[in-house]
Amino acid sequence: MFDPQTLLLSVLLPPFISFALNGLIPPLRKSKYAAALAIFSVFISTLASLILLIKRPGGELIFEWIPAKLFSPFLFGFFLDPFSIVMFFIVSLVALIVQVYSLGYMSEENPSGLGRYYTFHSLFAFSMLGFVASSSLLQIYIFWELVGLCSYLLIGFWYYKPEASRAAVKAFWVTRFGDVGFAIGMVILWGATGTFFLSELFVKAPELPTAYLSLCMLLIFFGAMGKSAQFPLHVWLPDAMEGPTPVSALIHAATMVVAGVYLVIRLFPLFQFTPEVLSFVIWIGSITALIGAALALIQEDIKRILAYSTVSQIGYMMAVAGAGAKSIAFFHLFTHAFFKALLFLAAGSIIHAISTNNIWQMGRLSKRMPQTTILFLIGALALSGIFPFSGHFSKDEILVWMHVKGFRIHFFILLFTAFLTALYMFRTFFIVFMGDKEAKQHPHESPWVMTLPMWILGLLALIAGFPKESLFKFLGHDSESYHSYIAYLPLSVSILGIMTAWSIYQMKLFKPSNVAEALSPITSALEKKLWLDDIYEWFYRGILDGLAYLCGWFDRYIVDGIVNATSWYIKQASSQLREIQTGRIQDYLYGIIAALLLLIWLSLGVFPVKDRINEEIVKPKDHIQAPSQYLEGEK
Amino acid sequence: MTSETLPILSLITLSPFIGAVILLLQPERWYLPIRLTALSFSIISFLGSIIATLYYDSELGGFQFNEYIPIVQSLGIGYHLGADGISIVLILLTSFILIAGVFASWTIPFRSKEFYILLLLLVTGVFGVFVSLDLFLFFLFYELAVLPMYLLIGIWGSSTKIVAKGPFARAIMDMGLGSKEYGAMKLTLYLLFGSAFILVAILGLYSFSGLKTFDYIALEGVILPSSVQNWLFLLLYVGFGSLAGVWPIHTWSPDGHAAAPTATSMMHAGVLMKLGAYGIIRLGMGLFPDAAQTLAPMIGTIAVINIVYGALGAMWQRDLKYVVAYSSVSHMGIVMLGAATLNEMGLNGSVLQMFSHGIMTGLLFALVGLIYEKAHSREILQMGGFAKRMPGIATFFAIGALTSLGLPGLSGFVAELLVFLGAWKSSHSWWLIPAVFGAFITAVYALRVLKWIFFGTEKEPEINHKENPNGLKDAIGVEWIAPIILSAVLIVVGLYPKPLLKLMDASVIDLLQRVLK
Repeated sequence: MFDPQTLLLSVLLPPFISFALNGLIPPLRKSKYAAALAIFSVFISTLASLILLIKRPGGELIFEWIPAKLFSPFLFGFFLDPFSIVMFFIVSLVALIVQVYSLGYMSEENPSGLGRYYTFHSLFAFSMLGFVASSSLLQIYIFWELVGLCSYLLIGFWYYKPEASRAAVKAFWVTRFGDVGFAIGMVILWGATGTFFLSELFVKAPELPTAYLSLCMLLIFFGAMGKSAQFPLHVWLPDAMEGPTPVSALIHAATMVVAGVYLVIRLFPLFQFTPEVLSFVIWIGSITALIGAALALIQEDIKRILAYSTVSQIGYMMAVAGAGAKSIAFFHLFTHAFFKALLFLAAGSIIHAISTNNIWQMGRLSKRMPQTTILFLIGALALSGIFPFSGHFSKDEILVWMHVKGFRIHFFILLFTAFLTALYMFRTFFIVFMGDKEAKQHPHESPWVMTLPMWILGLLALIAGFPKESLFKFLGHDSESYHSYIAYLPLSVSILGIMTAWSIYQMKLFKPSNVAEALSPITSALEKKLWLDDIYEWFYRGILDGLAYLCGWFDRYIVDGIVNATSWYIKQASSQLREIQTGRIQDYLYGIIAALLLLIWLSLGVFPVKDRINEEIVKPKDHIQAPSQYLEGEK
Repeated sequence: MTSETLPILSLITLSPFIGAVILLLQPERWYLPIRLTALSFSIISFLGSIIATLYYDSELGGFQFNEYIPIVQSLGIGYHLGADGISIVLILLTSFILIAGVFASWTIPFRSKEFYILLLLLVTGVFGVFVSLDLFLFFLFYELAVLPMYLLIGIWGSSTKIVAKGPFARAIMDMGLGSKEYGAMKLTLYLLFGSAFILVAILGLYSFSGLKTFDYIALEGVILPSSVQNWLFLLLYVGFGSLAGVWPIHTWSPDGHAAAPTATSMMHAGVLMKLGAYGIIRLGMGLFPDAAQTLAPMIGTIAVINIVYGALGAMWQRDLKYVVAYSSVSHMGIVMLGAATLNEMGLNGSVLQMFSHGIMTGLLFALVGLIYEKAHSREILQMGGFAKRMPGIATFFAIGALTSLGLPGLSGFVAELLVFLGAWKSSHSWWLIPAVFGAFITAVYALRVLKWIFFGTEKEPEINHKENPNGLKDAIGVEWIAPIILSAVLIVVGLYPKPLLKLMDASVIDLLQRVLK
């Protein structure tokens, strides 16, 4: 029973069944069994992916989706390779943990709302797992859009909150804008190769002209930028924090937002032929890392801090993937999934306890919520890259790779970002857990159904870095060890960041506002979010709505106006013409006499009417009969 | 060419007609029997089309289930029916919409007998157009499909108040913009205007071919000189185009759809607009292949204008029915674009888009009708937060909106994808870019409307608040049936489009080979 196909199906199908049952049977959805079904299904997926991770088989399932005769039909399939197996494990495990945690976090939700929540979660788990194992680019796109849909539905879960519904729509629009690129890139790549199937693409695409392939990959990467919240399309992710916190942990930190990175990893056999696009990827990644970290530094909402931090960390992954180390990018994706989910769940635990997101309204939580404090600290240390937490290993690998491969500028940008990362993370930590203000409400530790999942993630965040060598071996990456001063640099920078945060926010050696004033142009730009939101707002309100106004107005009052004016004129003309019908017998008599006179005059032979009529009657027009040259093809 | 077996196409076509005759004999006060009669004759058609779908040999292709009875032999007019893969798909679409439409008009407040009679007559016409292989018969059914619309809108429609601006404001206001009579009259005149062109084209073909027959199969064998073909094709394009909502002769569609009662809008946007596209594909491309090839660039370019212009027009509207109507204009652009690509992908996509858009717009109009019944308003900006009180309607509306923006897993995506692929493979690759952007604009307005009506803080139209407090409720009883059927079709086709595509593929290739040879 452990053959690869069965295992593959037992990863993919349970969440789908759970979604279908919950979706199609309203009484089930409204009962408490909805949650049980969803959690049970993802539990089976987790078990199956664990077995896959241990046995590490390869395997493939293929079926035809769109038939065609003149073109090659579109095949779909799922396949197992090291990346998809490890990703299965990450996705199903984090989904399981988050769904269990949600039982506590969403306990105040009414049954039908909770059922809806778990239905969406099941759909998400299915789409994400399907995305991971897709063996056709078209299929990747399909699941890509479906995870986007789940993200939209779950951000807007509390649809009656105007901000939530706004954020949901914004997330969909921005990622969809990126997907315009993805769709066009995919279509034109198909146009040149005639296939969507990855293994065929990898053979055929390298034969294409480099410029053409570069264009395709650039467009596809545009989609990845939208989904993975890369600058300048990152604007939706902070707003997406309006959704429930467990959703942010699962979708907007651990799994869905890294889909773009996964796409680059998946399509790396194509990206490697397009060096220009790869250098674009590195630049986008590095800039995003820096800007994300800088923006995280000035936020006051704990979830937004974490959101910008996610943006920044995905930037790291993109940069290193662009630099050619897809396994290192994947390793960071792996560790990041655990520690960032942990941080979100810990933040959720705080929000659940004191019902606010603002860090300035928190303080001294370490006394009231000791478990959450420890767990948040683990997450923060892992994110900052402190030994022996998992983030240390992956971030080190990234920085060393950038240095060794000679991407000097990017190396320094990312190194500086590492400093900022430690700084903003521990700024948050000191304010929230150590600060001298007392929170207004009386916070309490969360129930075990929330803390237990967090402890599991805490453990993973601690140890996920250790299987580095075996993971690299499995992924087929020959990791070389570099013993040089570079290896100590990231760690020292991070410690420096923590020290800085400690001296500012704990010891209050100097005021943060003084620093902000000293850097006023930068801080004011950051406070405006680099005006990106304003630019998009202008594009939406000004360009799109303006064009819509022009088009709508033109259609309604000009195109349709001409139609109406025509019929209006005919109506007017006919009411004028109607005057001829006076109803007086004399007028009609005049008409009859006039016509009679006219006829007499004509019959006197002024015009040769008669002859012409005769001619026509005698000679029937010959075009009524078919000229024989028209009749081809008759048997 | 007589058929030895069951005359399945006649059964499908004439069953609604017989239903209409039987309805005539029932008194108005029989509330339930009237509906059940209409329903049962619709179900006969529905079952017939299912049987036709199952028994159609898609490997063989071509016209099957042929029936032939001569009517006027001296003029070459005959009762010739037959269906190929394309027709079968559209018959299937029509019967789904018919069943849904009967349920959607279950609660019609007055003169329900006459309403159902007209609806069934209309459907007879639609089925007839899709299966006739005789141009005279085709035209007869075509007119039968168009004319009941006038009464359906004029009697059971709804009016709204619009103030015109611009240089033609006076003319527009004088004509009575916004009233149901205006919508009905405009729609009918427009379509009669179109059918005049079609009639000329058909008669032209009759005389130029010299075969003295209206039979489609016989006329297929005639190759006219290309200049004649071009002119006749253009006549057909204008004639059918006015029904298919081709820019710039589409302006009847928003007003007509907005004024029409629910089932009529469903039928009209869902099926009747496809008659136009079907006419262009079947008669235009089938009979004038050279002209189709010559004029494809023009058709495609206009189609792209349709897509973007319709989407922007929908974005500007604040009246729910107008939004859906403009989105139809935009989606019909995708149908025409697919036809203009002249390759397998695009044309398959075009036919699938006809099906998908028919079901989707049927669903949306059914829901708009429900919302209107509960809220007594179509003004989007007066609504808000409805999802709390009508979660079911919100769910189905979301499915419709997501189909229209081309979300994978729903049928719209497959169709649009095929058209996009076809567009890139066609002689004018640039069509792809505006078409994809059109899909993006659709995402903008569809999600925006969804958000405005269903999400956010609760709002209620003032008029409704006074007249029926607590009236905002979810759908009940029979009201559920139409949305459930239609969205199920959208999902099934979206997940697994293979059977439907297989059904039409051979016929599409036949048609293409005629055009491209």
